[in-house]
Amino acid sequence: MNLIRTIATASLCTFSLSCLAEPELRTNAFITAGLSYVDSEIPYAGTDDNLSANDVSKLGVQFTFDPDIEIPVTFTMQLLTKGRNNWDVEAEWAYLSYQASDNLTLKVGKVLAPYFMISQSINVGITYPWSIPPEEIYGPANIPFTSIAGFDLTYSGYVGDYGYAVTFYNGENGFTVPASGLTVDVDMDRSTGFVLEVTNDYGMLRYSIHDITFTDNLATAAAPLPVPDTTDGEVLFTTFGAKFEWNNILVMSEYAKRALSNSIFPTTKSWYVTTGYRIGKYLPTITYSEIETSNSDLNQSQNTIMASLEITTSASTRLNFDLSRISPDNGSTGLFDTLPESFGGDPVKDTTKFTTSFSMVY
Amino acid sequence: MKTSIKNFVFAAILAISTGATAEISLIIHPGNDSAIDAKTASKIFLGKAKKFPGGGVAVPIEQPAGTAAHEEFNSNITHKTAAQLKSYWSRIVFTGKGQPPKVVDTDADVIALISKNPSMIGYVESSAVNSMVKVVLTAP
Repeated sequence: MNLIRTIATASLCTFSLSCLAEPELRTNAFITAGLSYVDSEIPYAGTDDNLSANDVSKLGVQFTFDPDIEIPVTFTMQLLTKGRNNWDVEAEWAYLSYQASDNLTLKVGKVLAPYFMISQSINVGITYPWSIPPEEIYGPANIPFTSIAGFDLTYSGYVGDYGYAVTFYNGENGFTVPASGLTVDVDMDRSTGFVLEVTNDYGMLRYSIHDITFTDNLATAAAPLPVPDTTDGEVLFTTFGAKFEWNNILVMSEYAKRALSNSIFPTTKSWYVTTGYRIGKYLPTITYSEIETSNSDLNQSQNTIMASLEITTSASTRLNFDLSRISPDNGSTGLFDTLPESFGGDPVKDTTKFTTSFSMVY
Repeated sequence: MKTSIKNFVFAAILAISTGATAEISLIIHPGNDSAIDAKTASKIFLGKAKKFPGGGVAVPIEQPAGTAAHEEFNSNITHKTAAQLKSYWSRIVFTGKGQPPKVVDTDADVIALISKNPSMIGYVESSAVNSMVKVVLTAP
């Protein structure tokens, strides 16, 4: 019997409703362990031609404390360590949740920002059909930060067979941007956004818009670029997402536009589409993803075609294999970790990437 | 001889198929007057509805994954496999949007809980139902 069930059963201890009013601590965990390889000496999203576990591996533990079922307040903390973050242990989620009514929930504290369709579950490998979500949308060059400190307010409900959720959030954070061989410290002064999701038994439609103001500081980057040390920039993110699962067919797609003003970083348009067909425990998918950059000396345009296989090894575990062909545009560094050639960077070329991973939740 | 082999094979197939499609009953407290259809039950067990149609908090009680009752209920009511359920609840749990239903081990435990708590709703194999609870629907 697992710990969750033990705790749950214990909370129902003497088979009386009064028992449910007792404080309850739930523990959940997730892990992904895997390896990546790219046939390029120039690192791609932190991976090079040495087999690496850093690209995909991660481990998280979540504690949820419910002091009293009759008081609509819970406390949640999720600790995460992952290779892409140098295995530092960080609290990705740490918040108080207050359910003001059946429809309205307020969270205050640190939360993963809801930028894209799977942004908030991106560390939980069994919630998507790849080892790594498409780099063009989910990679740090597009979204260099994940969590914000602030609040989010969600109003959700049902109309017939359709569920809806409207979220408004506001927060701030500080982070480091790895992009085109640069390392830039950024103070995010404010991220404010609005998310609308409509769901039914077969899928989801999603729209979101986010306004972010920040100060980037190149003083520590020592970058050989003709730009000021410090700039105050603003980002307007707009995203659309859709996911449908009908019988054995899976279709997922997202589009994002990142419009920057007063920044060395480019404006981007990125998107992907994934289609798959489930055959028993096997889910083969094919994904095409693309990013186009403009309005900057940093050209990161590229496209990727990825063939993936997910094997459901048990209800709680998945085994994934991804094989990708990454094609940077002419004159572009793509999402490789190098400066443009015009600033002394190395030329990049079409590259193959292989990733395999095993994911489990508890 | 040939007939007895045929009878044995038929009986074996019947036994296997009967085991795989054991009827389950959705049960509530006898004092709960809510009318509950399969769609409402699905919403309650997937955390999408937190109240009974007639009002009052609804607390769903699950049985362990891998049991016949769990497989039949989710196959017929939520239309999700055990793997799909795990993925579904992982998205909810790890994004702070909710927690899956409580799990108790046996039909007898489900009936004992629900018979004392008007807020609870659960499912058991129909052969285990007694007068302590009220059946609101059966499946398949």
